[in-house]
Amino acid sequence: MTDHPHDLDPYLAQHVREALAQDPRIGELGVDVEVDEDEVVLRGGVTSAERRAAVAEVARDLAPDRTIRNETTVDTFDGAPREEHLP
Amino acid sequence: MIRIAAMADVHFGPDAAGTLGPHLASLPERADILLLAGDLTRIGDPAEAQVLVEELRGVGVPIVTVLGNHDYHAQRVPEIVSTLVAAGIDVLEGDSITLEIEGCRLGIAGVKGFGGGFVGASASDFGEPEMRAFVQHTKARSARLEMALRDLEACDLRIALLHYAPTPDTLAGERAELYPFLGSYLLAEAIDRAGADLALHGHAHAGSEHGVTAGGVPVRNVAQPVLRRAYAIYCFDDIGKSAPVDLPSPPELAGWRYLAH
Repeated sequence: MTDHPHDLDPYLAQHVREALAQDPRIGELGVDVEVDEDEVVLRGGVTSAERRAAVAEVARDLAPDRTIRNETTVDTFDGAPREEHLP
Repeated sequence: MIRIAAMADVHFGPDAAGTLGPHLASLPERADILLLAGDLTRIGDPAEAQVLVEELRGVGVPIVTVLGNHDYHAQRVPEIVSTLVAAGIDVLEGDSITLEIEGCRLGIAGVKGFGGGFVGASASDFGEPEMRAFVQHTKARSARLEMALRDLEACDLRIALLHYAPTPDTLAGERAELYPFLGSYLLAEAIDRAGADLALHGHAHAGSEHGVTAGGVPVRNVAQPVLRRAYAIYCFDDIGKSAPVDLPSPPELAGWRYLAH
C-alpha cells in the first residue's frame, strides 16, 4: 500500500472540484484544485466576486486544517469584439 | 454582407446582473444577429435565465441560442426555454431556423451535441447499457444536426450552432484527458455530410478559437473565456452556398443517421 502523510487525502482535490460543480452558488467545472499537506490552491476564472468567495468557502469546508490560497480571478471581457472575415 | 455575433458560456446568474448588457450596447451597429452557443446559466435555474433575458433585452438584433450542459443541471429545461422564448429568443435543439437578413437567407441549425471523443480516441457504442446510452445520445444529436442542416439547403448561408465541440482543433489548451467530455467527431461528420459555412460552439473554456472540420468547414469556439471578449463577430462578405462534402458512408454508421431523438 502506498504511504501517504496521515493528513493527505489523495482524493481531496477531486472532492473539492466535485463540490465546486455541485454547489448551487458556484456551478463551476473549470477551477483547478491543487492540494498538499498544508494548503489548497484554487486557480482559474470565475464569473463573479460572489462566486470567487464561495469557491474559497467550499474548499475551507472540505479542508478545514489547510490554508486556502484562492488564486481564482473574476473574468472580465472588456476588450472590443474582434471581427473576422470568412470566405 | 452578413455579420454574425456569437458568444457562449456566459454562465449567468443574479450575481452577474449588469455585467453583460453594457458590452452589447454597440452590437446592433456591428452585427446583424447574435448567436448563443449554450451554457447560458450557472446551474440551469430558470431565475438565472430570467436575469440573462433582462440583460439581452433591447439588443436590437435577432437572438438564436442552443442550451448547454449547465442549462440542463437543474432539470428545468422547459422553464428555461419558456423564459427565453417569451423574450423573443429562438431556442434550437435538433431543428433549424431561417432568417432573411440583408436580402439573404441565413439558416441556423442548432443542437447541444454531446461528448464521446474524436477519431482515434473515441468512446464506442459497445458494452454496458450506460456506456451505449452515452454514445447513442451523441449519435442521435448528431443525426438531428445533420437533418436540420439538410433542411437549410435553400439558404445562402448555413451555420451549425452547438455547445459541444465538433473538432479537437478548438480544444487545444484543454487537458487531452478531457477531450471525450468536450465534444465528438460525430458532430463534425454530420456537419461535413450536410454542409455548412461555419460551425460555432462553446463548452471548452481553456480551448482555442479557431479550427476546421476534416471536410473544411470553419469551426469557432466562442466561449467567453476563450475569446477574452464578450463576443466575436464573423463576417461573410461574399455569401455563397456551401456544398456538402462527399464522404463515404461507413457501414457502422449507416444505421444511426436517421434515428429520432
